[in-house]
Amino acid sequence: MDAFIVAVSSVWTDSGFINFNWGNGVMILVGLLLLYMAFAKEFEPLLLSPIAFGCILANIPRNGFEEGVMALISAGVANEIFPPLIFLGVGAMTDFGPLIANPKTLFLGAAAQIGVFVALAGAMVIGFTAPQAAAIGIIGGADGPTSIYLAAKLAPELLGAIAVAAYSYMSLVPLIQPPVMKLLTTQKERAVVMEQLREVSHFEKIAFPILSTIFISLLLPSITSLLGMLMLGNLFRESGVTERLSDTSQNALINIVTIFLATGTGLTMNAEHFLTIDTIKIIILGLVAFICGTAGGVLFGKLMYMMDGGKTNPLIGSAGVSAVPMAARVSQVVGAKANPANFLLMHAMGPNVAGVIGTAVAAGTMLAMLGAH
Amino acid sequence: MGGNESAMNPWLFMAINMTVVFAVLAVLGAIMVITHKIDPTKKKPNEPAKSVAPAAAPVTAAAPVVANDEPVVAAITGAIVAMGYSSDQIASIRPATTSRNWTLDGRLSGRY
Repeated sequence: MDAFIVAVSSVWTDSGFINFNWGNGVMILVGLLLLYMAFAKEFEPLLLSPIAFGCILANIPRNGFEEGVMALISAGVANEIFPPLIFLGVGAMTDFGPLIANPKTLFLGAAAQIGVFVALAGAMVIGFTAPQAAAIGIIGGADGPTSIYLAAKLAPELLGAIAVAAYSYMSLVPLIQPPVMKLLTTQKERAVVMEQLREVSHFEKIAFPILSTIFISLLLPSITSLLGMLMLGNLFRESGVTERLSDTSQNALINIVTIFLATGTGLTMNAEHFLTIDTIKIIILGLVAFICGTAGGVLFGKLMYMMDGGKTNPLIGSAGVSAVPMAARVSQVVGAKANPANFLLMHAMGPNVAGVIGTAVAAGTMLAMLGAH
Repeated sequence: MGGNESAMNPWLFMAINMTVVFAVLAVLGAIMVITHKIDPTKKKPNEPAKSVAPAAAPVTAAAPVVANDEPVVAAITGAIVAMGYSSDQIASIRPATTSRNWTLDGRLSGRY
């Protein structure tokens, strides 16, 4: 009997219950809420479900995640391994054709980065250091991998909050953007039907990723891995002779890495690091960044509308935040509500992919200015 | 971590970064325009006119086939007349050379 009691006591003292605190309880509830949103409400379930479950796992005391596969997954997030691999898949899935056919939409992608810098300035004003503010600001780019990439380099202590804010707002794009788009545009502007895009040659689709990689990487070497993988994936897609690599990049590989990256993001959400006032500030700043980015893109779209005699539908500007292809889909949906015969999706893909490049450039610029590599 | 003075002023930091983002994307735009201009595979403006000429070639090549296929034409005419139509109502009988790429045409070609 004594042996039995000793054994039970040993199991109890070794269990997580002993070290379970209210913070863990709150974070497990947060994880359950995120799981509910993923499964019942279908808010980006592919991303949100592993994040949510990772959050639950991270808040089990004495989970032994200091070693083994969970340690490797966490290392993949912290050491900038997963974001470039995600970008490889994104590149393989992305058609740069609409952007190449209408290069002026690059400026919409640039204008939407205003959200990044408004949040950055706001974060510095309320007391975050410059590197922390830069990492927080990039949430406004609506680009999860770039947010994690920059946070890991500049503010690893804020990685969990930044990653969660970035992915949460990305999944809420269809809720956050439309009110801002409608507020800043008139019915007449939203109903503009844009001219059909010209055909883009195979040569242009091959030359663009190569030349842009060389130019941007020489200018901002700190984002070479991110941008290089994006463009390599795109070359797999466009070359016409690497179909198997393209298929793997845009299906199997990106799915595997998404599981690792999203779970690893969830693992950063332990109560000790997550339940702080800074997290609340980051969540609020992220929302401000997102709204300002959307507004910046739409306002620049309005400027283009005025300058080109009403040929540009300002709604495509909101796609300049880089949540690909959700932001472009939102432009399409809002445009179709104003004019059911309006098909803005391909036009919105131009600023959408420009936003991906723009956010990476913004990240590279901040890294260069802050002296981090 | 290094850092410099401009990075400590939020508004200057913001202005410099926005300028760099716009400038880099403007250069990318220029790269796209130049690539389009120097594209060696781009169709020349007079190319459509050239493509009309070869398109006409199969028609001239097909004409003798029709001329040598009088029994077939006669059989088709007979079949149509048997359905109650007059031979005057037949505007033309042409081989389906214009749809050579179509699967059905391919299958039909295989019969001969």
